[in-house]
Amino acid sequence: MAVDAYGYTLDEVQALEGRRAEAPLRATLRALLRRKIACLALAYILLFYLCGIFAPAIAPYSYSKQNLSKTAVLQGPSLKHPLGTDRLGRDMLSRVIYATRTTLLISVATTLAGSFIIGVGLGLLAGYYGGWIDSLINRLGEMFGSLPDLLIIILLSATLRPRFDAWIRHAYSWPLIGSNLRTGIADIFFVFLVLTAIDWVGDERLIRSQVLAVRATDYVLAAEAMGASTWRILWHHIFPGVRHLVVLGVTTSLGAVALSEIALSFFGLGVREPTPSFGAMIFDGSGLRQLQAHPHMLLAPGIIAVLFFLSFALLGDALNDVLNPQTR
Amino acid sequence: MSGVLPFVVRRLLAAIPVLIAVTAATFFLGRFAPGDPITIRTQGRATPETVARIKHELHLDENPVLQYVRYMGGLLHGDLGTSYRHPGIKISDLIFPKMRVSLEENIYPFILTFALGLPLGVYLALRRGTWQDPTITAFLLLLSAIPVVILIPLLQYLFGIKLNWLPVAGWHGLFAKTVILPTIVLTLPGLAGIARLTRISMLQVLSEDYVRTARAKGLTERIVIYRHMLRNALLPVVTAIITSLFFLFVGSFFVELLFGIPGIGNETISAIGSRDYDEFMALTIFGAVAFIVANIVVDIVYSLIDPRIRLGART
Repeated sequence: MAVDAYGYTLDEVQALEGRRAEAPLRATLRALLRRKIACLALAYILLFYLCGIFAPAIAPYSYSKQNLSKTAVLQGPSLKHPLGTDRLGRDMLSRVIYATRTTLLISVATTLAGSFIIGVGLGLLAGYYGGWIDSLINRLGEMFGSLPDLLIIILLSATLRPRFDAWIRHAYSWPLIGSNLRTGIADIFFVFLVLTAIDWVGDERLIRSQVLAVRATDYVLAAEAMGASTWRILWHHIFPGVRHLVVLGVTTSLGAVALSEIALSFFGLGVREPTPSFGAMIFDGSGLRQLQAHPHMLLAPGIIAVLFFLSFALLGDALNDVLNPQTR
Repeated sequence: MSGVLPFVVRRLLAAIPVLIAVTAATFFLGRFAPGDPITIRTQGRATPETVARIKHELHLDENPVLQYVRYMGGLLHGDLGTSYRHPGIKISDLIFPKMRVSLEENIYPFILTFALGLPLGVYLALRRGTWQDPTITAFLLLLSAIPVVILIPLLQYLFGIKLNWLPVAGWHGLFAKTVILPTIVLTLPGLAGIARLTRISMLQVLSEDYVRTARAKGLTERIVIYRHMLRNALLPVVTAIITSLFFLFVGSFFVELLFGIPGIGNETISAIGSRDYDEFMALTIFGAVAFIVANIVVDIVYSLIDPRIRLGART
């Protein structure tokens, strides 16, 4: 049997190196995928997002096509309309499928910008530089953190939205993008801006505290001693040490942003008709008389949304367990 | 404990810029929004001249920066301002009764969350590795994963219409049937959170040396759990208790809206909607101050419970 200079067999060397070389991120993901519940949750979330991406191909009808004849509105589930129709005779299944697209667009864009770019970026800067940069970023975070999220979201939407709408109407006549602005993309963009404003705070704190630990390690000191640029140290030496927390932050954010979007649209401050969103659909179905006579109006979007949030809760719980091994 | 006073002073000083930024942002957002409280209040019944005259009397036609300085000056004298939509009524007279309602609405959920969540968390920690732990945890996650906008209509329908046991909405104080459904809705998410927090905290303590020592010297399991583990595991839970104490009077928007409870949440929505500038300023200030004070108190209590934590040490 072939052995190396130290007398280890090839299998043993690979086993040792594999254990040593496994980065926190890979170890985290590997441990996560070993859990059945986490895989199930992940599968549902992926299915939900895929529905959003391929909405035009999957949806059996148009989300806005109305059929106001008496026999077509507020119908319960049938073969033709598996989730029934709403009060304008629109197919609920198609609307739910397009609503996943709204959720997908807003939560992914917000998480990328707020949680990932701003949150992780500021967390790296605050933790690495310390001093006045750290203080400034902390104060900024406290500013957004010192009020309930929903209050900030409602305050921003209620005050800025009318100005934003007026400004968007000016742009309707612009070439190329003008016609697209009418399709509800402007609503989605506004909700994205508002949610991004508060989404970064949690991640910044999470990343900062871990950066403080990583920057004290010998390899960062060595990189500094060798004269590596700040960018290089942050990206190549510190970031890999916090990547597993980024996964946690992004997961939390995707679920939280989707929930905030539902809250906003429920209040009528988010995405508006005819663009489908879970918040507006749940609002439509939640009137008590409506619920008594046509429960599918609430249950169809409701159950799909609840499973979505449950999946995020289970995934987040599994991630937390994996990241804190002694609590398993 | 000699360092408490300087610590508090330092933290309060550090909070001043945050408060100024939060108030300024709220103030100018309100002024930036289209519409003004007087136009909205008079609903087109008053002539433009009358509206202009009222605005002039209330200094609403001045430069916003000047208005902000004037408001903050009044605030330093304890004056929260006067309502624009209910002329002549002081903001404090307007919002304190609402806070009382929100406090009442939150008091049962607060007690239930901790009275049920703590023992449940300890139970889950002690049952680790059995089927009960993951099953109950998953059930708790399911309960907290249902958005309130879905949960509330379902509960209202089930208990209010189908079974006809409870009133669907309304508010008649702490001892009326109307309190039951809001209590259920407000307890569930917190209960799941506290149970899981207690569980994780207990499990972290489980591997500490002093727990092994306690077992090794032959203490009964009961004493090990309650004296050695629980006392140390309580730290994060105490934080949660204190933080939620400060937010007792902050109402929940959805619960108040859907159950028709006249608390702070509903008040905030209508204040923003009718551009009652001073009122939503006051509400923002209360929220921000509660948050800042809660954080300071948490840090002090931390150092009291766990002497290893020094006050003011940066984390």
